[in-house]
Amino acid sequence: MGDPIMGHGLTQQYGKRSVFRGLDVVVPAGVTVLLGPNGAGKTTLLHTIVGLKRPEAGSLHVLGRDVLRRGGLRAVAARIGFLPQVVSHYPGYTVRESVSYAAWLKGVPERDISLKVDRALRVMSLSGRAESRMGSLSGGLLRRAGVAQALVHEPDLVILDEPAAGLDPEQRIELRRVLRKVAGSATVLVSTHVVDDARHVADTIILLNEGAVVYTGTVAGLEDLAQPGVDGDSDLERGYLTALRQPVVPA
Amino acid sequence: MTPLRIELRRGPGLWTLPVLVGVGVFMSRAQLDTDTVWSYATGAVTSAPMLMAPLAVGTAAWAGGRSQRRGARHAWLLAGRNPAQAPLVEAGVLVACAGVAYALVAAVTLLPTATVATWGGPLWWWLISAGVGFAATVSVAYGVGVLLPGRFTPFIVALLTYLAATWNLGQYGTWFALFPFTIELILPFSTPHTPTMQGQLLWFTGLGLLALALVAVKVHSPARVVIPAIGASLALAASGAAIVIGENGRYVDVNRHIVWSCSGNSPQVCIHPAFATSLTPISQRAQAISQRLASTPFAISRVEQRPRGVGGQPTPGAIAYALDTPTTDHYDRASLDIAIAALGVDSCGHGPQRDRTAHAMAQILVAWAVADEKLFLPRDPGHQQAKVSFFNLPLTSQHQWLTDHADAVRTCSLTPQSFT
Repeated sequence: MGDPIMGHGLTQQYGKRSVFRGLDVVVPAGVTVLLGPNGAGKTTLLHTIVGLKRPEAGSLHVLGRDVLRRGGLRAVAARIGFLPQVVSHYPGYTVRESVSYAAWLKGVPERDISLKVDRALRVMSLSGRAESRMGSLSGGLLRRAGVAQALVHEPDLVILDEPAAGLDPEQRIELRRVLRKVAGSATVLVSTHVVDDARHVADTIILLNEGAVVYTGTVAGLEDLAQPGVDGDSDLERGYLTALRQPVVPA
Repeated sequence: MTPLRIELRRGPGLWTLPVLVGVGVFMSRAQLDTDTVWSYATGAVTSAPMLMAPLAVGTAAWAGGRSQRRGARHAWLLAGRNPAQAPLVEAGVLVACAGVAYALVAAVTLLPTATVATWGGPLWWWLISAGVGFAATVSVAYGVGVLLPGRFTPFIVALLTYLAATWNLGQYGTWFALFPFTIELILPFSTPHTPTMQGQLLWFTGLGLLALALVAVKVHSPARVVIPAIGASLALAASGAAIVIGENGRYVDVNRHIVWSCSGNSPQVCIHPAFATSLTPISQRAQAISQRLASTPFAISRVEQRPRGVGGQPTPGAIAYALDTPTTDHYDRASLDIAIAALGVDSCGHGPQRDRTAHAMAQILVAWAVADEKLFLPRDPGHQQAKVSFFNLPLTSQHQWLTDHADAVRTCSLTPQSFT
């Protein structure tokens, strides 16, 4: 059994614009934070992993299955929880209904849905807003509801695209706590462009720039890359910027 | 149960249900002159989707595109179950609500008929094929919404449905019958041609299922599910279309199993059993006419209700009248039919022998026969003089006059001088 996500030689493009070419990426167990500036290809990589965008070339194994083969993704879909960058929701649904619907979609048995929904809402501190309409939620609450949708079926692999966007500091701290808790039983892959978020939760950092992985390693390893004279408020930020300035070598 | 419960509570199906029922009942009542005839009431129900459909398909197309607009398509594609289940629940609720709305319209329309009708029953195949056609259109519209999830798709789908339904009203035959929305009148003298309606049932069912199968393809449902679904729906649609085309879209057959309701001997008055409650008022009017024409060459022995136009020929020795609705003004029209047929002046009003003067003179006799001189509107003083002369004659002299001028009456060759 290899790592939860193993991609080799992945190529992805929109029209004639190449997002990444020949990308190798391995996501180990624990919490992995996918860092990178806007346009680095983070969201495209996540969409590739969850099967929303099929790569032009390469191989991809998720939770031990070749998801590019017929039926491969279908076999593991129930074990994946995904939060897209824009939370999908029907405004007329209540938070409870949205999370219940997500649970049903993921194949949670009817008799367990209520219990699991209550648990997910509690974890995301949404129990008090369970009967609020999704359309009435603020951006931060909507994001938390989205995370609850991604976690409700207790997946083995949780992939969250910018989960902290729109959250206030208190909520960000709470989200980190949740991610660490989830990581006890699942592999977590989180994309963000906020470097500081990575410091507190990441077991592994993957730094993506211009469609290439420019760093894979621990938080401490990225901090070690920091060079004097590089801007930044912390060693991690300086290490991040140092890594970004390295020339990107095409695969 | 979870998505069904949520969709019923939050989806557009239940919200549009009362509106659909209201629109449908309005349409069906507007089409219905009388509750007493099952075929009329059935036709009114089957015409209701003409007005219900634009609203229903617009809503369905909106619901179909909602998943794409709201980003929920991601969730479907990553579902831990067959991803087609989610849209099928949505479509199922919409189709079911459309079906319930149609059933309620049918109940509201047919219930009064059940209490007053004297003959026959609902034309079930016609009711069912129209209902399935309506439901299938909702299914197709949902499919269009999923496949083409544009902002304006619902409006375009609704508008096209309305325009197509309106256009189809001017059509007939096979293509007419392949379209789900019609306004069709089946007289009680006819019986529905059930093979066409059975073919429609298959055709509409196939189309509805095909739309859902294409939705399943769109959301990457497994091939082992999609391929048989497409095959089965295509087979249903093709076999249904073949039947309808084979029958040339024929809707009705002549009903040869009608046992007429009759009364009296001189004349004997017969009526379609669906209009049995009208036998007495029609008989009274026929008797009055008969008494006026007795002892003349125009004496009446038997009158029969017949459909207007084609197929309206009575049995030999009888004269025909038409009756569409059991109301006083229609009874009066039936009286005119009887008088015109008894006097044999039908051809005076039209056809190659049409002569305005002869027509006016015939009208004098018809007005006299039905005892309503207001029916005759003189065009000139000569016509008025002719009418006054004839109406002022004693009954025996009128009979004698009719006997003397019988040939002129029948050949539409009367002139004002004939009355002086």
